[in-house]
Amino acid sequence: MSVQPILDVRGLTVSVELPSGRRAKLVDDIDFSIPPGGALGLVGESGSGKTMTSLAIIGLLAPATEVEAGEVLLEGEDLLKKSKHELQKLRGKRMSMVLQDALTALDPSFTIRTQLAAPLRQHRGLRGAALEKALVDALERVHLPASAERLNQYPHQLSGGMRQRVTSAIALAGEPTLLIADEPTSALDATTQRHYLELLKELQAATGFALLLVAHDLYVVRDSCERVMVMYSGQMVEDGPVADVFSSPQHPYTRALLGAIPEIGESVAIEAIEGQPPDITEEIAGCRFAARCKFARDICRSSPPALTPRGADRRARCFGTEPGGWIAT
Amino acid sequence: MFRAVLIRTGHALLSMLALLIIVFGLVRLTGDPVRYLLPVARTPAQEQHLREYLGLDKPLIVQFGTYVGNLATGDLGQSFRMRMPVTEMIAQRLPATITMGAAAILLTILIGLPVGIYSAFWRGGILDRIGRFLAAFGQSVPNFWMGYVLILIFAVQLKWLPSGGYGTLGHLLLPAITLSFHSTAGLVRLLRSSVIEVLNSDYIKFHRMKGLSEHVILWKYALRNAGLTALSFAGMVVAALFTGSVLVETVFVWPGVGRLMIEGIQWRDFNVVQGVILLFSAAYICANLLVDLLYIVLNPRLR
Ligand SMILES: Nc1ncnc2c1ncn2[C@@H]1O[C@H](COP(=O)(O)OP(=O)(O)OP(=O)(O)O)[C@@H](O)[C@H]1O
Ligand SMILES: [Mg+2]
Repeated sequence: MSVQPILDVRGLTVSVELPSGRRAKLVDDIDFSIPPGGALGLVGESGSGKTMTSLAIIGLLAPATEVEAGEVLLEGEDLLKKSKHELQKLRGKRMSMVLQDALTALDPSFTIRTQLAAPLRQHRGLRGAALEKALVDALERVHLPASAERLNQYPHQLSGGMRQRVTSAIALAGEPTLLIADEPTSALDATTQRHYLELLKELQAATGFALLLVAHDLYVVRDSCERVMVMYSGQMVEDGPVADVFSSPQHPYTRALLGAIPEIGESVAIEAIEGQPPDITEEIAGCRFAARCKFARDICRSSPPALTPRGADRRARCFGTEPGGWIAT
Repeated sequence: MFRAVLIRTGHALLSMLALLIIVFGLVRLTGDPVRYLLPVARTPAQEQHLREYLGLDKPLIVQFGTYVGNLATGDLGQSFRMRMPVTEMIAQRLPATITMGAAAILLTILIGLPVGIYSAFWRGGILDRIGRFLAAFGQSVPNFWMGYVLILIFAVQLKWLPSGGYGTLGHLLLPAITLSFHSTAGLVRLLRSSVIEVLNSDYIKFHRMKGLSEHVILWKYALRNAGLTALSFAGMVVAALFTGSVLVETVFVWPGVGRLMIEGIQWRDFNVVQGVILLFSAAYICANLLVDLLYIVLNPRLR
């Protein structure tokens, strides 16, 4: 506990005002932290609130949604207390984000040079020859062959994998201490995905940023992160070191996710779990996963379970796996 | 690409020819110029003599052939009324029309661009509501009505500006504002919707994640992308300016080609009417070609 974490999120709650006037929680009381150079995987089905969490951290939530409670500490400074302008100054320089869709993140009307030079100029004050060198270096760092020529090309002239590499080069241009990668590989094919994840690890080793890797493929997290956090319907249901979570999942949802993974570790969709998650805006009396849970008992449907410790650095939100519970782990 | 432009130009020339045939026939249906050119006390012999002099006694097809033949040498024929080459008359009137058109385009850009962009940026805000009201108003109200209202307010009531005429900046102001109303309204609506679309795109979100300021995002990145959409409608704006100028020049007694055409119609001065219409359609075609080329230059995906 001596090292200050790069990112420390405490009790983060994001809500949206529904047409009915009621406020619904899209992200409900999340905490986690990432140490310098660490990597945390954030896993969950589509619609579980992963992107919402990421956008809340970086300060770019859509106007209808807002942070209702919590703290987001970046190297000790609470980002939620900062003004829009202060946040803008931090983005790209101390925290950065790679978007879900690799193919649409680059501006179709400007060259790679223009788009990459903007953060280099703004965050590192580079000009002239130094800027030119940094441009080529940045592309070489993401292994883009023929970097110098690439600079003058437009996004449509690049393949999907190349575009995602360029996107990462841009996101990392300001040398941020935190990179949020929101399902960075979901628009890429399997081989390109693997290459990209290897690149991400390599970049992390080289520059030491803390990584929040949002993924819906558990194998991605297993290979790239030390810790994993599982979200279900806006809530954290389990977190802990990757190896432990994989060997003894403490939540039936995690278990179901793991069950959906084939042995060899090829990517498989999480949708293999039976049933649908509840509408995230729906009010539910008990556990939000109860309706799909094989182990659910009456108590699960009547009162909501709390996130409780499972050993030194693990937590889970399940009555069944609490001490004296009925689910064997 | 070059081929596409060539084909476009070919099509455009063909449609100009079709237009010319229609206009050529239509003006001749509206009446006989001889009755306007000769005094009331006239003899049939005088009428016949004038008709022969103007070449109107020949069959329509021969008249058309002669006209197109002269056209090929750049000759638009003589004005029946003024007894001078139509090209010369147009050349005299053109500067006034161009001045007014240029002023209207300038106003359209100066007002339409920021209003369109900021009403998208502050969607639902006060500026957006005012902008949208003005845009809907501007597009639904006819030009000439707008002109009369402005005359009533600024010339008759306030006496700040002349109600018509030509020569000074003061004379230019009201007609230019009137003429720019439609196109400004169109630009605001178009830009607003395309900027809204662009601002929702992933690449704009990614620009924000880089830490770029909203100002730079809006005026550099969003404008370039939204402008591309807006540009494809610029040809229509130019067309609206031409048709608008005919009415506005009449309302403000502005000595331009638009009014020249109205005078031509009143006097059944066939060559003048045909000449001006040819000029308008040629300008329209050139404007559209220019827009196409600009679109190719600005859109990297087409290069
Ligand atoms: N304005 C809104 N009103 C109501 N619900 C909303 C609104 N905006 C987002 N949501 C809901 O918030 C939930 C969380 O969305 P989010 O994008 O964070 O999911 P995600 O975990 O990133 O999913 P994916 O894997 O598909 O990217 C979704 O179920 C979505 O329907
Ligand atoms: Mg998402």
